[in-house]
Amino acid sequence: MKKYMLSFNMGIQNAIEYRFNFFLSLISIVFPIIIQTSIWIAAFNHSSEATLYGYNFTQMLLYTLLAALISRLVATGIEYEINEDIKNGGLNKYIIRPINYFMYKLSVFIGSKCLQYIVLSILIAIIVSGATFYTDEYELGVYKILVSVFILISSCILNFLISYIISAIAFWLTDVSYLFVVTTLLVNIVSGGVFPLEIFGNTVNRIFDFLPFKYTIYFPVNTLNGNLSGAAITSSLFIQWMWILVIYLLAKLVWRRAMTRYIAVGG
Amino acid sequence: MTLISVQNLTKHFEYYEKEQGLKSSFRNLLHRKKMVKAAVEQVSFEIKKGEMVAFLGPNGAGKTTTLKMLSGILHPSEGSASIMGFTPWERKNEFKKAMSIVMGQKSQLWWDLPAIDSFYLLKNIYDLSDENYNNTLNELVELLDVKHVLNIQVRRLSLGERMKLELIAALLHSPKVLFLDEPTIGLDFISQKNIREFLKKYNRDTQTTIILTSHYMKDIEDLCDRSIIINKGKLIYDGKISEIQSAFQRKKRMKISLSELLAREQFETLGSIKEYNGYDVVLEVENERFKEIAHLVLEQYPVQDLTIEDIPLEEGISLMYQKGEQDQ
Amino acid sequence: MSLAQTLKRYIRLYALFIKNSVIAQMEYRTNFITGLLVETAYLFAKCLYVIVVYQTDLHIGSIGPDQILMFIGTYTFLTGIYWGLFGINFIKLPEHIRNGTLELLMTKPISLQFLVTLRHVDMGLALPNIIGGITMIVISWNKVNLDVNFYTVGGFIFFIIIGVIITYFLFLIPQILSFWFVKTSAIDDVSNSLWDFNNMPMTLYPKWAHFIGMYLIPIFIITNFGPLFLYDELKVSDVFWAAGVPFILISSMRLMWNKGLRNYSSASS
Repeated sequence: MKKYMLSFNMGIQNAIEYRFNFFLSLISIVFPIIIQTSIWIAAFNHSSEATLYGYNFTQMLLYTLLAALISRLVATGIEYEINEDIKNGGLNKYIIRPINYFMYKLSVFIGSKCLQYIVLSILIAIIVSGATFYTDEYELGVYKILVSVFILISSCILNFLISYIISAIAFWLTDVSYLFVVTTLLVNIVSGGVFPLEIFGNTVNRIFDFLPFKYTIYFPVNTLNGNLSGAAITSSLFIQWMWILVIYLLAKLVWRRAMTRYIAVGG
Repeated sequence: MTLISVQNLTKHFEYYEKEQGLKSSFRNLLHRKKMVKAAVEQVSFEIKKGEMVAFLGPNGAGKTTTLKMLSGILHPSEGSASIMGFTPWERKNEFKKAMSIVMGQKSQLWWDLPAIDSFYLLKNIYDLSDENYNNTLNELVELLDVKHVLNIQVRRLSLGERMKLELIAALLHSPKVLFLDEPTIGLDFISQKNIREFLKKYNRDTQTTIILTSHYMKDIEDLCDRSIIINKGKLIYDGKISEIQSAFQRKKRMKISLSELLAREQFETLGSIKEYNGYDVVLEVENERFKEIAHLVLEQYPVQDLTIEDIPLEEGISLMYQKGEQDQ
Repeated sequence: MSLAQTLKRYIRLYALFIKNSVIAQMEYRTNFITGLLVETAYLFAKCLYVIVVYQTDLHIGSIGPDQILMFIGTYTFLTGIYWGLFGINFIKLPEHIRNGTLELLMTKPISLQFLVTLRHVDMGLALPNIIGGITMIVISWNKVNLDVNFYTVGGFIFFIIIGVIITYFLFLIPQILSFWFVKTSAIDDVSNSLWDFNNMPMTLYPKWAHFIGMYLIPIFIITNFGPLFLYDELKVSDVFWAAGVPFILISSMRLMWNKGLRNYSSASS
């Protein structure tokens, strides 16, 4: 356990070393929020309907704000690191050492994310309580807060697993760092990180129902903005955990095959 | 004719200290400790046209920093330098056209292209006439024997071939001064030898002034009559190489491990004992006698392992450095 | 050397840069294809905005979806130019500084800025956006029923060129910070997000944002002025300002560049 604590500490140190970057990257999520908020303000102003895509104005604004923050919260970027490890032979260190690569990556990752988790959680809390304060149509009880926290943690786990499985592409394809830009962006879009998934229409949404992605951003956001009913939250939470299990097992399988291949070709 | 004259060249730079551990990371959040390091300190020398001079010294001694100042990449903190009448760090185009620098670990060729395309680009950058360019290129290609690799992507070539092409790239515009930073680093023995021979011939034929840094003694012995030794940023020797050789090339170091315990006295007659703990002995012996002594030790003592090596440059230099201090 | 000769020499060099880049890319087709993929994905993300604009029948003042498409098209087109010609070099500047390859470039007898910022051209990054952008511009042009004559097309191209110049200098400035800071990926993040403001008409944003985007960080001039010119919504003073901004940017960029270079050559060893 101690070695994972050390890895965790290493992650924190890294994050602190590059703190300048972290705070700047927080500023950079403000801009898309401003753009999208402006679009929604104009759209609701011009529209005669009270809801767009099934969201009222408050819910839509909350969606925009929370989706941007939660995108950051669940984002990993481990694909690039794992790619580096595979290409530079850094992975060899973990094969010969009594340390589990997955656990190691997870520990460093959580360590480097700590600061972000704290700051982002505070921001989410501020937004949610601000909404409760300003509008009457929005209410968040203690029970729902606890559920939301649990859902957010689950979302982080799910997205980490998704990234972990995607990063295994690096075993089969050379020079994939560009490709990971594509996967990150696409995963973010189909997770509902840019716009609510409803903009894709009913047919596409039926496909999304059978994919794990909407349970990383779309689901927690719609829990927090009050768009989902209690029953829908419970069933979605159930599916979310089912996906966590499925992808965990799948990741294990994929990585085991990848590792045998990696060792076979000699790195 | 003096081509390069350097006076009191000094380079200080600042850096931030980072101690190990999480606690210090937090401390650094608030306050970072600023440190000043003297990379080069009050270095002065002169170099004549056509000379081939070596900068010698251990890693981090300030050789490369000096070279970078002379080629105009870095500004000194103090002091002056004049090369062909130019102050390098003013970076005048006339100066740039009259000099060239090769860094062993940095490439100026496009890796995804055959070298010939990079050369053609350099022709345009240096504004060379077609005739001039073709003549020089052909000559160099012939001398270095690289005609067959000109049209192959640089990425696919061996380190030795790449280095030869780097040299051509640096010499296309026939510079009057050539700076070489570790030109043979990482190369195999034969490539090293080829490059050394080329440099020797090129220097003799064109009278190009060449300054090189290296930490391979062999490079220096073969190429340069004169060497400038820099240690911890200070110039500690400027003169004939043959003279410094006597300071630390006269002796060899012999490491002996024994399978049985032997008394110290057993070794005292063979050479000077540097280390002794009963089982492991480090001896320094005279160059002329090391074969004979090795023989003797192997035959008469219960030897498990025996290695013979030159005295490392670093130590040789620190020997010289100590000597220099004593003399003062 | 006279100005004309110098200019000719640099144009010849730039042609060589392009030629070399294309040869290298043809050799490494995977890079080219992944570049295409990345930009197509981004193009897809931009299309989401188009979808939302049309589905919600977004109106900003007198401007409807068809007119807004012109803004998104111009933005997409210029994104292609930015990444294909400039961005690909800009992101390499921190690398050049970190691993010292800048040092070799410094010893070449031509402008270091030219050599560093224009050396590579990436068709893979440029093509999807340029094609997508032009398609959107043409569709919008038709739907809005704009005239095709010397005045409209010429004026639009004029503002596109101003936009390209501003893009080059405005987005080079943040990269120059890497002379002082080691890790600068966040700077990229911020300037990229700033760039994204351009995909909508600036009238979408509050008044204070107009002011900032017009006068402090003049990003709105880059993609807004072309379409605004077509819709006859530019004031004469705006035109003069747009023509003047490049000069201000060039001088401030050069100032920073020289400062950064001086800092580099006196702070490192």
